[in-house]
Amino acid sequence: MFALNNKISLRQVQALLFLEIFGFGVTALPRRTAEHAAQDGWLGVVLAVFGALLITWLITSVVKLNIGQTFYDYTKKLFGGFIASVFCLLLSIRFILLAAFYLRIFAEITQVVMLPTTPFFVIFIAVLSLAAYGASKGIEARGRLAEMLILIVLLPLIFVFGISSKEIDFTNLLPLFAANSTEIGKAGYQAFFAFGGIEFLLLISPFLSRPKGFRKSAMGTIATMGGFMVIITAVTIARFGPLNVVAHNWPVLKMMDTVSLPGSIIDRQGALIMTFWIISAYAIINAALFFSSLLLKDVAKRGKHIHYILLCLPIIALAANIPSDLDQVYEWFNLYNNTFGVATMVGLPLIIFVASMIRKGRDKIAQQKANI
Amino acid sequence: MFALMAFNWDRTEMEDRAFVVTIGIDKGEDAPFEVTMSILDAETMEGGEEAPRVLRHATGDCPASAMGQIGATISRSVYFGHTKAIIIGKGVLNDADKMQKTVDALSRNNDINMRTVVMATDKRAAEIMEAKPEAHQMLGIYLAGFYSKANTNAAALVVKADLEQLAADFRNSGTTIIPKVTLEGEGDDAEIKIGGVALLKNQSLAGFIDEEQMAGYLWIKENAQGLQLTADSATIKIERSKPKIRFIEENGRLICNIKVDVTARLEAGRNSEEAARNFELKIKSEMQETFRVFQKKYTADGFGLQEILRKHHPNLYKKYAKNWDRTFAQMRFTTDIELKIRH
Repeated sequence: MFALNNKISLRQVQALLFLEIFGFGVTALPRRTAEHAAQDGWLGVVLAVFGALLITWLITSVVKLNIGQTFYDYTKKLFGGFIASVFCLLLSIRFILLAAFYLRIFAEITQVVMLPTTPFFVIFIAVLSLAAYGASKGIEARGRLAEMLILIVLLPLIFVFGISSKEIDFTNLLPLFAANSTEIGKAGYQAFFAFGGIEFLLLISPFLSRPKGFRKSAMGTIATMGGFMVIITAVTIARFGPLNVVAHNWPVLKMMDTVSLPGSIIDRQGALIMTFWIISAYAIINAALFFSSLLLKDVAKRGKHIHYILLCLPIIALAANIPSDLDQVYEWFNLYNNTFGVATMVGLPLIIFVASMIRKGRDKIAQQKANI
Repeated sequence: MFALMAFNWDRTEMEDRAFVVTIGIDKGEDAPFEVTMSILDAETMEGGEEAPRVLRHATGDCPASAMGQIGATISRSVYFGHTKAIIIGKGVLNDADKMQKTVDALSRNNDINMRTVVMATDKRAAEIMEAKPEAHQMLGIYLAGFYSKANTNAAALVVKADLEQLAADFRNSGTTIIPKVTLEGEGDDAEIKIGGVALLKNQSLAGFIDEEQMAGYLWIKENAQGLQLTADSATIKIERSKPKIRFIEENGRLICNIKVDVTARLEAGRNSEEAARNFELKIKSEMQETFRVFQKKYTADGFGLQEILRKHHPNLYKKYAKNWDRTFAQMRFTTDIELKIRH
């Protein structure tokens, strides 16, 4: 367990993946899907899960073909040093911006729910310091922490959603299949971005203690997470109804706040919500800092990854501070998803996969020729 | 990090907070809105016969600005996290625009719990808030207690509205019902009375419906568990009731059939076929009367039948939803009761 060899187990990979993607992805999901497909929004999530599984299959195929190598190393072999550096920079910008968006959204929610007069910069510094400290301790510390934190994220969610099932009117999901295929497709497209961070898998190869079974673990985690997302989306739409769910910025949080807990154990569930939020924010920003620092280090070929973490911190804080309000955050976030998101979540894995297969084919032919 | 953790930008001590227990919203005389807040007075909480609360009034162009005005006039910071009830006066109920602004302002306030009880009154909300209920000196706490799950009071069973339900109904159809609170008696002897509802159509008041006319609502929309019924010499207590609503189209007209499965326990008298038939007839007549009031007197679908049609009969919904008022006014209403009485 305390091997200090910079390797993590498959269980830790699963915990990290779940923690990094799930928390932030799910909070606005029912709204984003219901905007396009109303009560059939959950069908869009089902579609998105299949999309995410396909991408996971592509990424794990790439990782299997390049076991033990860093992202920079294997893209350099496939495309040459310059293109590899461009890919690394593209991914690190994607992660830095992802962290900036999530940091700003987290700060906005914290102001609304808990700290109305605390300035953004105080929240930014607190979250970034914590995430940077975690990232600086390396992959093993992150893996071990994820195994502990995953329960703290999941238990409140399961508890609240389990209890709320009593007061849910599932007829709000009727009539089924009322949305047409275009609407469900649009909902699915929006839901796919809830899996933002799936690209972290492209960089995990050198840290795997046991590469065998990696694909099964990753696919299993995405499928489980997808299952949770489908259930949460369906239950939230059923709870508020398709018209009302779109009126809430973060319907999952609203649901956690308005559910009546029995026996007055907790009167207002703000504490549970903030636990969920703080850990989700920590997990995604920590991952973004860790992986972008590794990518930048590989491109620059000098220094330690902690230096690049320190470099990323002010950039994330400044970028998070630019949008004037929450509407602008979401407007830019949509633009970012449609460009950077599509390029790195779909385009990059696809290009690398195709290039890896061509390379594999060529190597095979060369091997056969050599044998002859 | 340690420096950041050592201080808190949002530090507020309990004694620095003004806890708002009840909010009353009325039409103002010089301004569109007048808001009254019942604030818990920590200084008079310990001992004494006086209600530990102070009432504050302010006017404004919208409820939010009036609430802000009150905040500006007191030394403590106004806190809505423990608000138990919101009372809306007749002047606001009568005006769709004012109602819309009220619901909007209240649901946008992040401190106010969306499960806060909402009540309507045929008087001014401020007038109601001045009364001191016998059961509890704080009106908001009394109202919240009245509607708490533990309360099996039959009047409380009839209908409950909270801020979340009100906001949802305003987004859906604009037709909703809000339980009514009023005063019985005069002057200092005036007592709080809860019963009946305000029926809102197109987001404004269509009329007040009394308890007797609302008796059937419980059978049509809710679970009548806990309700006591007496017919002839027998008394039963409802253990469970479940309505099942379906629609049939006949000669270009919609028929709404409501089948209610009721399980009851005999509390007094003798159980016989005749007694069961009498109870069934009583329930049917209550349902028919409530439906008649909603349909003939107000032409307001306060049962959410349009929404049920949309969910379960999408084809009929497409055909009839465009002119729902007319469809509802011409709808035939049939009932079937299946009553099982246990000893």
